[in-house]
Amino acid sequence: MVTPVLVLPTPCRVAMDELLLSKLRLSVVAELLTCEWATFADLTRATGATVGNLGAHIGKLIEAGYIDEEKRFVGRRPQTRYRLTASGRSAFANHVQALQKLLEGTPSS
Amino acid sequence: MDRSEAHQHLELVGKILSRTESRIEYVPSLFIVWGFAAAISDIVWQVSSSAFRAGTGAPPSNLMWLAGAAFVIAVVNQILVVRRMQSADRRSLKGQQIGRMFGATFGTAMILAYGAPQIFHGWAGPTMFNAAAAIALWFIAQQGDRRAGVATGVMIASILAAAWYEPLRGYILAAGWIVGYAGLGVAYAMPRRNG
Repeated sequence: MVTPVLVLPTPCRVAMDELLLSKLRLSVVAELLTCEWATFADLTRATGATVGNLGAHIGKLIEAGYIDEEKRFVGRRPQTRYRLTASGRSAFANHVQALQKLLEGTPSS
Repeated sequence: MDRSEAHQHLELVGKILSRTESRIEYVPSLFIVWGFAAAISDIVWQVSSSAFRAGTGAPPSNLMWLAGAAFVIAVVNQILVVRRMQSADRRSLKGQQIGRMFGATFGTAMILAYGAPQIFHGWAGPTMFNAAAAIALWFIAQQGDRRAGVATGVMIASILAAAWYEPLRGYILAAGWIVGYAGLGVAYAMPRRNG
C-alpha cells in the first residue's frame, strides 16, 4: 500500500503523512494508539467531532489501511468498533517523528 | 505545514496520549470478591488443619459451604465483569496486558497447587496463591500505581509472617487477602464514590 506523503520545500524538507495532516484523523489514530479497540461512540466523545464528519475521516483511515473496522451486535444494539493496524501504528510514529524534525528544523533523510 | 502548526499537532497528540495512557479501568469488585473468597478458603483450611491436629474431626459443614459459595460468587462475578468489558466502548492495551498477566499468574498457581500436590503439599498450595497475587499486583504497581505497590508489600508480608507463626498460618494468609487484595479493591472504589 502506498502511503501519501507530503514533502515540504527546504529548509523544512520533512516527509509527512498527508492523511495525518488532518487534526481529526491524527486525533483518531492517537486515541486508538493505546487501545485494543474503541467504538465509534467513544471516538465521537473523545474527539468532539460530529457523527458525519468523523465517519468520513474514519472512512479515509480505513481505506488507507491504518485502522480496521468491526461491526457487531452487543445484545440487540449494533456496535462499530475500530482498532489501529500495524501500518497505522508505523505511519503515526513516522509522522510524529517528522513533526519533531520540523520543529527542530533538521531535514529528514 | 509550518512550525507553529507542527507544534499544535504534537501538543494535541501529547494531550491525547497522556489522557488515554492513564485511563486504566480497574474493576474494584474483582479485587474485593476474590480477596474475600480466597480469605475464606484460607480460614477454612486453617480450621480443618487445626481440627485434624486436635483430632476433633472435620470442620463444621457450614464453613465448607461458605467457602464453596464464596468461590462460586467470585467466579460468577468474574464472568459478569468479563462480559461487561467485552461490550464496553473502549478497552485499553494496558488493561488487556494486565488481564493476561493476572490470568497467567493465577493460572500457573492453580495448575501447580492442584496438579502437583506431591511438591506443593500442606500450606505450600494456599501460600502459592498469595505469592501469585503479589506478582500480579507488582505488575500493576509497575504502571505507576502506588496503592498496588503497597498491596504487593502486604501480600509478601503475609507470606513471611505466616512462615513464622505456624498455628495462625491460615488466618495470616487470609488477612493478607483481605487487607492487600480486597483492600486494594476498596481503594479503587473510593475515587469513583467521591468523584
